Amino acid sequence: MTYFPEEVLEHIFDFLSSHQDRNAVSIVCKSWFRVERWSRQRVFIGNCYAIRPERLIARFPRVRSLTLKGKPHFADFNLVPHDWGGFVQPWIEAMAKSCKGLEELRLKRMVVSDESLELLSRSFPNFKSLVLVTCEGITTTGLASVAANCRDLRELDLQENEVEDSRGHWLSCFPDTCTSLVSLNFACLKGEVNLGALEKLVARCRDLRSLRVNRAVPMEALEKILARAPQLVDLGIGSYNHEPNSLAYKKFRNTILNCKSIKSLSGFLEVSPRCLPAIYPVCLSITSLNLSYSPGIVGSELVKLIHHCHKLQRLWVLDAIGDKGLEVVASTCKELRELRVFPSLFGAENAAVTEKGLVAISVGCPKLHSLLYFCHQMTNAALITVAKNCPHFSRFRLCILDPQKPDANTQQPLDEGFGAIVQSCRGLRRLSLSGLLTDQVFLYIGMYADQLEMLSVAFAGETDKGMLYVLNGCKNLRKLEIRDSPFGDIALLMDVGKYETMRSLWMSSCNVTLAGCKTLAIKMPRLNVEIINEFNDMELVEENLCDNQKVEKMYVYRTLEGPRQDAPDFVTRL
Amino acid sequence: MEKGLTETEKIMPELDSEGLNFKETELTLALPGESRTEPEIVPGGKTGKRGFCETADPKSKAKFLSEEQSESEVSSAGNPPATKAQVVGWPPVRSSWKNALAKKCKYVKVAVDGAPYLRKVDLEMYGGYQQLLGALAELFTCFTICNYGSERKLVDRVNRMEYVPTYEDKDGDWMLVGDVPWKMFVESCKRLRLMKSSEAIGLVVLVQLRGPLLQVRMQAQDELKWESLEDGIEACTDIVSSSVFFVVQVIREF
Repeated sequence: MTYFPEEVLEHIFDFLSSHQDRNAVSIVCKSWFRVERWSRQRVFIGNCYAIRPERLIARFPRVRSLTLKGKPHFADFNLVPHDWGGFVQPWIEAMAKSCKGLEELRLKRMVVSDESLELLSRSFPNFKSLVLVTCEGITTTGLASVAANCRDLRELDLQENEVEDSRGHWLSCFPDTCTSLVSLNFACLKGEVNLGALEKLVARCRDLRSLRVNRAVPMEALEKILARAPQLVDLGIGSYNHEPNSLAYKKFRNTILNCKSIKSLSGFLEVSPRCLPAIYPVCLSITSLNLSYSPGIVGSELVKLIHHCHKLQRLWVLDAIGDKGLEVVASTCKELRELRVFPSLFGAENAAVTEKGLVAISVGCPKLHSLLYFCHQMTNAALITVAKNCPHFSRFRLCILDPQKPDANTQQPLDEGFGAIVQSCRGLRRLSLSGLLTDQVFLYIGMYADQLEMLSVAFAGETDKGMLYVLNGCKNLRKLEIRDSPFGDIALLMDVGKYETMRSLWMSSCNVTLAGCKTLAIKMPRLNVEIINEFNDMELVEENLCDNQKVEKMYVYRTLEGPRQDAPDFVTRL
Repeated sequence: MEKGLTETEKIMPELDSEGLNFKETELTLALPGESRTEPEIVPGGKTGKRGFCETADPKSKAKFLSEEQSESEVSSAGNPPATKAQVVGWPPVRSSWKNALAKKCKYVKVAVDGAPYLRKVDLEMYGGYQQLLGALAELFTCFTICNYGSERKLVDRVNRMEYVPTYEDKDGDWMLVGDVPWKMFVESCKRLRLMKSSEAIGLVVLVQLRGPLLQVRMQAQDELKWESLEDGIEACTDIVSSSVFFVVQVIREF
């Protein structure tokens, strides 16, 4: 293969879609490195502070699609202060200078200003796809620039962002010539929408496959839109609110019957449950259903709906579904692969799901491989059964709402239950623990979870040993996030080399001290060790530098660039 | 506390804000994600009142943090009071998701003539009058719904007593439920009262009047025809001549 001309090599490399494979190829020899370098079009950067944009462009000059992540994952749960950082601006500036071919930008947990979006919209003539997930700083002014200037835009996907409504009618900024949209998702927007503009836009974008609208789009408007776009595959409904005997409802019921391609339903941000029968016919063919934003649908109505969803592969739902409802899922949805059950926030015990529902699912849905399950109680016996029934889990996230709640039957720790999961699910890549747990569970994890890439720990463990089991055992670990667990400097400093093989380590409300963090920073110059101290000012932190004071929040990540320059005052870089 | 009340006070508890410790009947349920840290969470801050959703609708029970929580926190003896709600970032659900679910609620009190207690309903939970009525029938299980043409009443199955759902609008007037479009009602309604039919006669007349008048008003606005308005007024005055005052009032609104 070394004798192939470079064109041939490049052609062969094109068949490698995974980043890991391409990474491997690029370190075989100088020639392969060169070929791979010039042909790499998609780049994933899991931490925007791990590398500078200039270095990315130098390394892969022809990048077309860039995925960037900013804040640590725990930011999702308000554990990272709002203005921590993660700005996309320097990236867009750098790319605008020398990487005009950019077509796709996917951002997660980053700060995206109007300025950034404006620059983006004017800098890349072929720009096609913008996906923003849990980003902040966005306003509708920025969206308006994207709409107005990105002439070939195919995808505008806004997932769970905080978007400020600074100016209405951003939707009407799409020029009349814009006919290229394939995917448009603005379900997270709070404000009003120009319904007329939306309807016209949908009507002229004949390739539109995915449309998710926000609360401001009522049933009447959606009906008109659906009449223009029967080809939709993915539909996010906004307000589904009407009298079942109203004309609007009857029209909607007839129109949606013509949408035979729909495979995915979501939304229902406002809902009159008695109008749900209109979507029953659609349910027969959908593979994905997300009702996690519809608290208006009570358990019995959920169950009626689920009865129609035989082909479901992905289900996101609130725990209002109850154990009984999950039994219906188990007997109806034989193809289920992904299940998420969210808490209807702060409910009473009988409104929620327990180990019974999970066991039922594991019996009825053997193909299940991804789980997020918020429940009020769990038992070891249930987890052992689940592990036996569903050995294909790659993501297993269990959240028992009361921290440190033991086995509901035996009052024992849940070590054995989680141990059974890691022992039988050998492909497990992501795991979140909860409930009462001792060091024993970490022994099991270290012993069996050799494919584990991300582990989330909260209120668990007893001594430093617990964390050490994980660090020593899990060879593929990339992200470790721990909160409120008694792990200290000994665990942190035992094998500091490990952190260079990982993307990041987060520890908050643990026993790690400032001295420990300092030691880590000195020993490992290629790690950024940051301390987040929201309440004290800098001087106080400096004063305490020699203290053995515990660190409230520590975030460690590998980087090629040294300490970041845009850190706010409450972030101390060691 | 109801024992000391006179008969009329029992019937119209809301008329007596002094005697009926009004604080006790205040709405104390917080929106998810809002003002949750208020003293409600403190054990003992529990009001003892149960909202409708908690009793009749197991699903949305979940929305009420404060009461359920204070209960569970009291019961988990030994733990410091700062357990789940006060732990930042727990349970680990995306804050954006939480915010999106924190939908608006509008709680109003429901009184039933003769019943010594009030209930609360969230009007935003219902899509229309029929749903609300169904919920009321479910809430006070003694009732069934009877439709008399366009007019709906709740009937006590035991003593066959009829009740008319009425509400106090934002101007402080008592109106018959169903007299304006649903959304307008949700905005305007301050409280609900299931009034004994016998006592609601005056109101019913007024509302019978109000229906045609509204129609007249809309017609007049649409067509700008004063003749039709006059026709309408004639029709109304036919219904009750004594309500001319009301008619005049409506005309003034034009």
